[in-house]
Parts: sequence; structure tokens; C-alpha cells
Amino acid sequence: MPEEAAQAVEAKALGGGARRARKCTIHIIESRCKGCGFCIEFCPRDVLEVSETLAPNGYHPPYAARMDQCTCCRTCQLVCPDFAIYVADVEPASGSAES
Amino acid sequence: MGGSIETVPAGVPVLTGEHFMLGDHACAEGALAAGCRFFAGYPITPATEIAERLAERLPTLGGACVQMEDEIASMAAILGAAWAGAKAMTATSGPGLCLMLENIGLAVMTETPCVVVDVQRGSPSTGLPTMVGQGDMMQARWGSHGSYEIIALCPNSPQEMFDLTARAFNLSERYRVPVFVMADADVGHLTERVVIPAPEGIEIVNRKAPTGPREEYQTFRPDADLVPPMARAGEGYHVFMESLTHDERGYPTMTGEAHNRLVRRLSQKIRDYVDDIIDYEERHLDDAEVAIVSYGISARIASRAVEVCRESGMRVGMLRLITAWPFPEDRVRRLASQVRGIVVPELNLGQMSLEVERCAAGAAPVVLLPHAGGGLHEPDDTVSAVEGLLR
Amino acid sequence: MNETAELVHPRESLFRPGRMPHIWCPGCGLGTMTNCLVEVLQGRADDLDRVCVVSGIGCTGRVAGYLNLDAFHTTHGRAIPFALGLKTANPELEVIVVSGEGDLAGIGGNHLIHAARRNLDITVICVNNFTYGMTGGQVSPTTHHYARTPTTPYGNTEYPFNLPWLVAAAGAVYVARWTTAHIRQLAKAMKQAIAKRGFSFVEVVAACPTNYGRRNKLGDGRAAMREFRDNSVIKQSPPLEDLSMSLGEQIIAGAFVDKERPTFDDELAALTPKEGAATQ
Repeated sequence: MPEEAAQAVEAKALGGGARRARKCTIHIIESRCKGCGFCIEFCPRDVLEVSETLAPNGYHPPYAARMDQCTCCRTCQLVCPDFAIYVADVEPASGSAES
Repeated sequence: MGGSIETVPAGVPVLTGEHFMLGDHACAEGALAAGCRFFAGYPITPATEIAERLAERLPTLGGACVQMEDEIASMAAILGAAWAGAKAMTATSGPGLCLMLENIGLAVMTETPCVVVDVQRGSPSTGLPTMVGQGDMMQARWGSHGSYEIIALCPNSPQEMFDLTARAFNLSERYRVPVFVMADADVGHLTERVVIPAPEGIEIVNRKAPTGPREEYQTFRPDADLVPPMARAGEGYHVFMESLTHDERGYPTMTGEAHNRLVRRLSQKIRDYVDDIIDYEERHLDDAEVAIVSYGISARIASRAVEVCRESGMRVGMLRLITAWPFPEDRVRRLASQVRGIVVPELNLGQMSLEVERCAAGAAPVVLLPHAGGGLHEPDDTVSAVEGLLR
Repeated sequence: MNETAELVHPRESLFRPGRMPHIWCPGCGLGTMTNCLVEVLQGRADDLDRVCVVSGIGCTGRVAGYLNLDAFHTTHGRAIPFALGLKTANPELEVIVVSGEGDLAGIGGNHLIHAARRNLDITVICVNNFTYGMTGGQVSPTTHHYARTPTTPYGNTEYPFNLPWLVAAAGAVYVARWTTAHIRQLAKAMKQAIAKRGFSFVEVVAACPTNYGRRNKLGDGRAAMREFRDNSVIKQSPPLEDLSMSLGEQIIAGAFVDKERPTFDDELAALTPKEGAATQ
């Protein structure tokens, strides 16, 4: 089901210079999530969805359904009332973006 | 301004020497001598002179004196100051003490050292603001909700206003408990000789400081004496001062078992040390057939009554409560088994007399001499009561 | 990634160990507000040892207990005078009061206006969820007119406080209001408020879906957040008297007051014969 998906996002430099790839991963602490849906509601790139996983506390945590769209903005991390989701940077690679 | 007879000196914490001093001012000086550097209060007769004296003195000593918007805020402010590390005090009368009760409970629950001076007046309600009473004795003991122990001292003179206020700070630091100075309008507004010793002659007790690494500190973990060392804010201990029932870390712990453990420890840390805390004065009790138990200004009348009785050949003595709380149960029990009767003159309709009765447990009759306040007993009334018991 | 290996939230060091998950309901705005606060605190270069959090009683009052700082869970309405004692006895401390509107503007109202009048150098983060949530959702001084609560079962006959106006009129030097949907602006306002010398007040409009939201058909937490996001407008210098809130109407958010005047500590120091800290 929801698994880690590291994804590079192209960042276009002004004037068309070297591209910088930025990666991050989204982590969900299932024992804390209370299924409020804030992260899903406020993600500006529609990355997250409610999963069908039933956590031990009875809630359905989110999962990253469209990680390729994630810009690592950390809105999900900041809006979460339960400190149940956070974004971790992966080492950015210079040069061409990976896909 | 403030009725000061002498010029208030700047920058000198201990006014060593002989003074002709107002009781309320002596109280303020006792606080300063003990290290008080924060006062928060609200004007109320007959305690206002304490605030006014400290308003002049504290800023010159690097301290702060703040008039708060009410007595509730005053009590809250001194607790905050205590957690910043200061020795803090407030002063009020009956109506103000009523307002302070909830935060007195907070002080008990969070083991915050502080001193509360109550210069009692005619009560209940607005009553007689400028006239004497002793009607807050039970309020000091039981006014806040729940089961708990506090310490209360009863000065009977401006000298004792100095001495006992200083002692109040030491007790509050040692036991991490609010300590009351139960004065009254007459003692507060008497001007009498007050001798203030040199600083070396004044005992200072400070709260136990934490030892050990900061990461291991637990805000409410007691030592063997049941009193936890107290860290102060701003030093990296990350204290957790919690008003809910809590465990040794301060974490709210809502179980009967945790509540029982905490509440009992808060009481036991006082009860285990009553011998160190309790203080009283005895006069002519060795061969007494009748004892007078009194405190504060009433004890000065009682002293005169003892003299008159002795001159007439009556074997009378006096037990003067210097600590009203904890109550000297053992001493009163022994007294009751020795004498034929006990007279309790107080400026209320029976408060400390109830304690005397409780501890006498029928071994000797206890005669209350009530007085609603607004004046003092006549020594003759006390003599008559003694005579009645000897008949 | 959902995994059984240890997951450590980047702000974890700011929480007392073992205190998560917290007691707040699913969809409660308090967690989001706290998230913004720890975001600001974590980002500081300064030492956090000087920061004190003082709270009163209520759901918001529980914030102090979660934070790994000098934290004080005081009595109902009395966080502000307690904070005055802390700050005046040791002016080096940075004191943040975090409490609810019932605690700060109801029972604590007198202390609120006097602290603003004094320009006490503290930060007050006032979470306004329009109700006394902890005790079951009773009417509070900011409950919307006509709203239903268990103590106003036929509708609230009273009008709410306009908190930014009240506090500004009393003398606050920094006043802002954001909803829990405005996470970036809220975090920035908290940072500004904490850095600001003088009495800073940030009203945080939040939802109480379990009590207030349920009784007034405002939907769950997510619906309330959507409403905050979609039915609010940001204004920089609106007339303060226009900042009242009614059910269904647009919420005006923004930073409304940012000015200078001498603080309580400044004046104490200036007018006393000798300076110095009150602690031994």
C-alpha cells in the first residue's frame, strides 16, 4: 500500500541554467494520526489521500498517492495538529533531474 | 505619606538598631531582612502600610514592588516571582485573603514558597476595615479547597512582626509551602520598640537547589525529607509546574492512586516536622490549675489577666500560640490533662477554641470568650472566666 | 512512508518525552497552533532555556504541559499575573502565555487589560474557539451572537468581545489575528510577537468541532478549516472596531497593530533609584 517514494522535482532556474533536483520523503507516524484530513485538504499539490489502512487507534492515516507532484513545501507537516506527518529532505542531486 | 516616622533609608537591606516602629513597617523590614525582593499586593486597610513601606524600600535593593489589579493577581504574581527564584510576599486583610484562596491552593499543590501576611480586621464582609479582629484563623487553615497543610504564625507586637515575618520566609523556603503571618489591625498599627539585629544575627534559609544533571531533574521528585529541590525558570531545568494532580515529573496523572500519593506527601512533609515548626510561649503553666490559650493581640490582654489572677492567688498560666498552624496538639493535650479548665479568649466567635476543645477531648472544660471584633477583651472578663472554672 | 522503524518528528525535542499523542480531539485547531509555535521556537538561534510558557485552564491550557521548556500550568484566568511575576522577578526570561479566550478574556479579562495597559513585555497567544471547550462547549465571551451552546440552548443573547480592539485599546503594542488555516502567517506573527518588546497579542481563531462546531452545524475540523481558508480576508490596517465576528461572515485576519512604547520593565527601571534583578 502506501510506500516510500523518493521523487525528484525539477526546479527551473531563471534564464535556463543548471537544473537542481530536490528530493524528500513523507513520513507518517500512524500512532498519532487522528484522521482529521487537514494535510489532505491543505496540500497545494494534491499529493495525499486517505489510505485504507486501519491504524491500531482506529483511524485511517493518509498516504502519498502522488509523490511525483510533491514540492516538499511542508504544509502537511505544519498544518498537522497531531505531529503525525513530517517531511524529510533527501540529499539534493546537482545536474539533471532523475525521474 | 504612609505615616513613616523615620526617613526610609535606601540600599540597606537590614536596618540594624533600635527603632520605634509601626507594626506593619516592622513586618516589611522583617521580610527584607529575610531576603524578600518581590512584593505584589493590593491596597487594603489595615495592611496597606506594608505595601507602601516596601514600595519605598524594595526598588533601592534591586527588588520589585508591584501594586496589582486585585488580590487574585497579587497571589498569582508572587508565585510567578517565586518560580523565577525570588523570595516573594503579599499582604492583605480578610476580604483580600478570600480572593487569594484559589492561588493559595496553587501554591500548596506546586510547592511554591511564599509568604502571605493577613492583618485581620472586623469581619465578616467589609465589616470594620480599621478595627481589630481575629476572624481569619480557620480561613488561613482551610480556606482553599482540599486537604492540605499550611503554616501560620501569630505576632503579638511590632517586634514579632519583624521576627515572625523573617521566620515565615525561612519556613516557606525549607518546606516549600505558603506561610501565613496572621497579624491583626492592632498589632499592625501599634508603634513600639523594635530591635533589628545585625545581618549576621538573622538566620536565612534558602530552598534546596537541585543537584545532578539538568536532564535528570524531575520537578517534583522529593528527597528523603519529602521536599523536592526547586529549580528556577531560565536555567535549563525545563521545570513543569502543574496544578493538576501530577507525578514526580510534573506530568498530569489522573488516578486515585497518584492523587493519594501526592496529597499525602504534601501534608506529611509538614506533619513529620511539627516539632521543628511549632512554637509557643508558656507563662506560669508549671503549677497552673487553669490555663489561658491565646494568640496575637488577645494574648497581651490574657497576659494582664494572668497577672491579676496570680496577684489574687489564683494559679493561672498562659499558653501563647506563636504558630497557630500546625496546631500544638500534643502540648494542648498534656495541658488539658493537667488543669481544671482552659479559657480561650479570641476576637471571633470560636475558631482556635475549636482546636483546643478537639485536643482537650473532654479532659478539661474549654471556655470560649468570644468577641466579634472591633475592640479587645477586658482583662476582667478573662479573670471572671478563670474564677468560674476554679469555683 | 509508513514504517515500524523509529520515526522521529523534526520538532520532537520540543515535546516532553512520552506526552504524545496529546489529548486534543481529531480536527482540533490547538494542535495546528502548537505546531506553528514549535516551528517558531525550533527555528531560533537563541537559547530556549530562557523561554517560559505559562498557560491557564482549558484545552488550550494544556499546551504548557506538552512543551519541553520551563512550563507553568496555573489556575483559570491567572496565567497573565503569574507571567508578570516571572518576568518582573527575572527580566531575562522570555515569557509566552498560551491560553484560551475563555480563560484570558472571561475569568482572566481583568488581568488581560491591565497587562496590556502596563505594556508588560510578554507574548499572549489567545486561541479563540468561541467556547469553553474543555467543560463541554459552554458560551464564552467570544461566542457568536445567536449561537447554541449548552448554557445558551435557545441561542446566545450576548455579543462577543472584539478581542483585537479590546486589547489594542488597553495598550497592546502588537496585535494580530490569524486562523489555524493561515499556518505560515500565524507562525510569522508568533515570531514577530515573541521578538516584539512590549505586550504582544495574537488571536488564533480555531475550531472546536467536537462541541461548538457540532452544535452549530459547522461540520468537522476539516470543514471548519476550509471555511477559515475560504471565508477570510487579510487586511493590514482595518479599523479595529470592524473586527467583530459573526457566524457565516467573513473573518478579517492580519497584523493590525505594531507600534512602540515603553514597557513595564523600562518604566520600573527608569523610575527607581537603583536597578537590578529581583532574584537573589
